[in-house]
This record gives sequence, C-alpha cells and structure tokens, in this order.
Amino acid sequence: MKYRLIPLLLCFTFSALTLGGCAALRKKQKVAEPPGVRLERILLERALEYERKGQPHKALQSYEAALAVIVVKKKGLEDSLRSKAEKHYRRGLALNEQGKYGEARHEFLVALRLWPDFPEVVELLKPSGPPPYRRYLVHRVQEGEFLSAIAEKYYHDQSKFGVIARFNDLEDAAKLYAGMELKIPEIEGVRFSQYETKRVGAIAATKKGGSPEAGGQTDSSSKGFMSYLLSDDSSVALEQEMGYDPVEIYQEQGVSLLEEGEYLAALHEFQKVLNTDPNRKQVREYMAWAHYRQGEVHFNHAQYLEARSQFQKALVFDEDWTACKEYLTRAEDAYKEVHYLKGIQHFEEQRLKEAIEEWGLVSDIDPDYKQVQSYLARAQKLLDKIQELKEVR
Amino acid sequence: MLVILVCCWLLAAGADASWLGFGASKRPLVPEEQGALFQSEQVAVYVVKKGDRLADLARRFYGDPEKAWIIEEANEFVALEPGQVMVIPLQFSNPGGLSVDGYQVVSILTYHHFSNQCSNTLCMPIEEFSRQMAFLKKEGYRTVAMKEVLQFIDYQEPLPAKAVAITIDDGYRSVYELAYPILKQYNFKATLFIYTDFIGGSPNAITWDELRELTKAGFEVEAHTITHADLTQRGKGESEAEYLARIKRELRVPRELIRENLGQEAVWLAYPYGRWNNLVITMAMEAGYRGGVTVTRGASPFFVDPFRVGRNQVMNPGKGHAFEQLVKFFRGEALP
Repeated sequence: MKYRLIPLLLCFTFSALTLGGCAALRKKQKVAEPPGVRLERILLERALEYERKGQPHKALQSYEAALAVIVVKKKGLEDSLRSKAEKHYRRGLALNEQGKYGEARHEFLVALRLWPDFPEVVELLKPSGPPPYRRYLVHRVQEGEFLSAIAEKYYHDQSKFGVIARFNDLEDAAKLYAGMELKIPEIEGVRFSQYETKRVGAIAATKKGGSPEAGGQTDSSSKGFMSYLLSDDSSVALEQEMGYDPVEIYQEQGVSLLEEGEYLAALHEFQKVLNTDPNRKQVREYMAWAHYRQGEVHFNHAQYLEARSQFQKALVFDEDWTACKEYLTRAEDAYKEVHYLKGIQHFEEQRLKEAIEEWGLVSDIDPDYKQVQSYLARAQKLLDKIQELKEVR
Repeated sequence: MLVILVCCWLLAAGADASWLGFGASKRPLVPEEQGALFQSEQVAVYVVKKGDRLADLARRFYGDPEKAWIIEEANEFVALEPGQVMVIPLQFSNPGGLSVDGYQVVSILTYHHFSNQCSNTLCMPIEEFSRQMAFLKKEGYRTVAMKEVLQFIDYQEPLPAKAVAITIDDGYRSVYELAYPILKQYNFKATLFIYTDFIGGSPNAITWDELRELTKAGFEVEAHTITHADLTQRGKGESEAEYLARIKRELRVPRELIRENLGQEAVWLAYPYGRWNNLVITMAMEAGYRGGVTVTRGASPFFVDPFRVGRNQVMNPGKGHAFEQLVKFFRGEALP
C-alpha cells in the first residue's frame, strides 16, 4: 500500500525538483513560505537525492518520513474543515428551532460547502418532503398574532408552530402579516372535526366582537373545514408568477391549427382546454367548428360514415346548429343511396351475398330506407332457395 | 494528502513555466512518464500519452464516454498533450456544486411545438430554436437528461457546472422532424414528457417508433399522464372514489406504456398545466415517481423539493422573457 504511492510521490517530486530555480526565485523575492510546506518538500527532496545516490533504503526512510508529515497535515486540514462545518451545523439547528428557516438553510449550506460528506446536513436541507396529504383548515392571520398562538389555538400546544411553518413553506416563522392565509394541517393526535371547526370559527368571531352564532359558517378568519379536493389550489395560485396562462396556450395553438386546416390536430388542443374547464363556451364552439370542418373533408372524399360521425360530434357541442344538422342528413342520405345502389348492382349481377351486405349497411342506419327491407327479404329468399337446391343435389 | 500534493504541483507549475521554457499558459509536461497511472480510492493521477482521447479516458475511468466533462472540469485544459498530468476524480467530492460565493442551479427549459411558421405562444419558430441552441453551445452549456437532474437533487452525482435540461412536453411530431436534427447538430439531448393518448392518436403527434429512435440517441421519455388531465380537478358528478381511481390510472398507465414501448423507466411526472396539490404529489409518489415538474419559473439547486421542480417555458420570442435570462447556472450567496 505504502509502496504503491511511491511512484506518485516520485512524480510530484520530479516537479518539485524542477523547481530548483524557482525556490531560488522565491528566496530572492523574500516570500515567506509556510514552514510546513517546506518540511515535506525537504523530506521528499532528500528521498530523491538518496535514490539518485543509489541509497534506496535511506530513500525509503525519507519517503516514509515525508508521508508521515503529509498524513498528519491532511488530517489536520480535514479536522479543521469538519469542526468548522459542525459549528455551522449546530448554528443551523438552533435557528431552525427558532423558526428562522431561511437563515438555518444558509448555515447548512455553509456547513456542506466546508464538508460535503455530511449526511445529517443533506437530510436537513431536503424539503420536509412532498407534504403527505393532509386535511387542513385555512386560518387568516390577525394583526399582532404570533404563530405560537395559532399553534396553541389549533393544536393546544404552542411548540407545534413549526408544523404550520413547514406546511406553509415559511422562511421565517416570526414574519407573519395581517390577512395572510395559513393552512393548518391535521397532525397526529389532532383531528379537526366539524364541531371543532365551528368552534374555532366562533372563537375568532368573538374576538372580533361579533356574535359566536354568526361566526360559524361564514367567518373570515377560518373558512371552515375544507375538503382538500376543492381547497388545495397551491399550484393554481402560482400560475400568476409564470407570466403566461398554461391553458390559454393550448387554445391559441388550436386556433392556429384550425386556420391551417389541421382540424383533427386542433381538436386535440381544444380538448386539453376542456379538460380543465369543460364549459368554456368559446372552446366548445371551436370544437364544434373543427368537427364540422373535418366532417366536410370526409364528405368531399365520399367517406360518408366518417363525415356523419364528425357532424354528430359537432352537434354535441352545439346542438342547435342547423347547417350541421343538414350536412349530417346529407351525409346519411349519400351513404344510404350509395350502398342501396351498390346492392342493386350486385343483385342484378347475381351476387346475392354482396347485395345483402350492402343493403344491410343501409338497413343498419335506416331500416325504412326506400325498398331496402323488401329487397333484403327477396335476396335472402333467393339465397335460401339456392342453398336448398344445392343440398337436394 | 493528494490535495496537498496537487497544490505543490500547481505551485511548481506556476513557478516552473519560464524555467522549462513553456508558454506562460501551459503546464509543465512529463513526457517520460507517459501512460503512467497512480490511483487511490478518491483520485487517479494519469499522464497523458500520445493518441489519448478524452472520451476513451472517460470510458476507462467512468465506464461512460459521456462523462468526459468531469475530467475536463477537474483539469481545465484545452487540448490533450502527451506528458500532461491529469487528476481524475474517482469519487464525487461536491455533488451539490457549492462554492464560497454561492451554489449551482440547473435551469430546466420547456418547449412544446416547433414550426417554420408560428402564430402563437406555444409554438417555437425553428430558426429561433436553432439560435437558442447555438447560444447554449457558445456559452459552454451542456445538456443533461432529467434522470441526471434527479441524481443532482438526490445529492448523489454532480452535474456539469453549466448544465441545462431541455424538456419538451406533450409529444408533437415536430420534435422529431424539426428540433431533433438541430439538437443532434450540437450533440445535445432532451427529455420528452408525453401524454400517451396523444401518441398515435393525432396526425401531428410523434409515434412510438420515432420515440424509440430518439431514446436510442440518448433522449429520455418521461410521463405526462394519459389524457393530459388536470389532476387537481375532480370531474363534475365524479365521486371521490372515482376521482382517486382515475388519477391513479392517469399516473400508472404512462409508466407501463413507456416501459413496454421504449424499455425506459419513467421516474418524472410533468403535471399537466403545471397543476399539482398535495394529494397529487402523494399519489405520484405511491405510483413510483421520484419527482414532479411544474411550470413555475426559476432554476433549481440540489435542495429543491423534488416534486415541485420549476421549469421555464420558452416562449415564442416577443411573447415571453428573453431566452438569455432563462438560463442560469449559479446563484450567488456568500458561503464563507
């Protein structure tokens, strides 16, 4: 192990030796060198010198000596960094307890900068986590109200203020302002019941001088017990900071696609808007329009069934659209007529099965179309007869 | 000990330059030691020999030619020369990118659709995209995949000092047709967040085959639900149980499809519309995700909440912030 390092040292010593001139230069400039740096260099130089003189055992001894010095110095440097880091770590812990989370984080970062392999600090810097889902109340902070008082009020324990601070991502638990809304999560041992919610509201109302009865449901300091499904709108509030509307962009993209005649693609964009707001009127109109135009495209390609389906979808979004209804009828009529005539042609050329198939398509969407039922019956009768004759033979 | 030795070396290097007759910017070379390797658990000292290439060294020491940047950043040199002494870190000493004057952050950029002609915010004109990539290259940025960002957030592995993650949402075919050739030109990679109903479901969506080709080129595919649903919203007339079952499915299926079709393990979720809440986060964790990205602007340090990692939507120019302001790699804070 030790010997493996020797080539390495050699390599560095080589460079140190090439310093001959440089050392002299330093002396000339009277640059004070830290005494320690000199020591290991002297030992290394001595080792090299011995080697050059052909005295390997003495060289080894000198390498050993240089290593001893270096190991101790490295350890010293490590210890000093480590103890500095620990000082910042402890300072951070204390700040954390005072609810000064922003400053605590700073101390932890300094600690980690000094000593990167500090798992306790890494753990503390990690956000307390995607907060596990909890039900919560919303509390509106009153003038001069402290977090510890709020903790006392909801948890009957003022030392639990940290729970509220963390849940609300506060940088400093001491910096509250009147009107600020805090989410108060349910915690182990404390479950907010409907009753308690009302009571909490009532207390707040009494403090403001209102009557307890009036406070129950509508009190502003506590919106009452909210279902998380409706109330947890954390990310929606953040949208204001983004500088754009993450839903609107899809509407714009849909309109561009509509203009380019990419109706099917446009539908996907509009659907994304409706995913968040199924009742957005303008987008519902766009949906209707895109389906209608896509239907038209199919119609012009004689794809009547596809056209029909698009017109039907358009009518889901705009049920009173007369032009669309008319188009739908035209598509159906064209479809029926095409297959009706194809059936007749097959029949005349004695392809009974094919004729039945075509008329079946017509019958599927309109059983009363022209003569379709009687034709079907006739074709079926003929087919059966032929079958019979074949069997007799 | 090695630290001290390296310091000695650097001292020597600075002082030696004129004595050895090299230019002031060059380090002394030890050509007679070419190919020599000295290795401890923490570090390897290697003397470059003729014909060495950085990518080969990265493969030799890290098993991955893409990791050449680690050697580059540890040694700050321009070109490999025989006899050059290189220090190759074998253990990551500073995965969080902390320094005396601040800490590293990584910008995550978000794009959607690309086109030659754009008339809305979501659409990125391809010429502008090309200009942006040229800017990143010129500034010395390296692109990282979201899985690497996860390693950084977990304080496991460092990112390149100037790292940027390019993410592209939804899965438009224009990613493959227009953006991919440009990214390839700069040797950049990107992470796609796809909603799986879109793939093959729309004429302008990318296909699984195209996605496979991208993953082979080092791209990453992550999840953006099945239908691009707003996960925080319970549908009208939907019971709580139905709603929970629906989200569960929206989270589960994309991971399965990505695994089946691409053989990749999706670990990131992009919340549709950037909308999340505690319930969504909790369910995403249960579904096996390890992080979630939003659309809130800003660059992230390693201690960011992995389920609320912000991203910067790059807008069609004139409709958003200047691109140059969106990419950051460092946040100043004195850490004495």
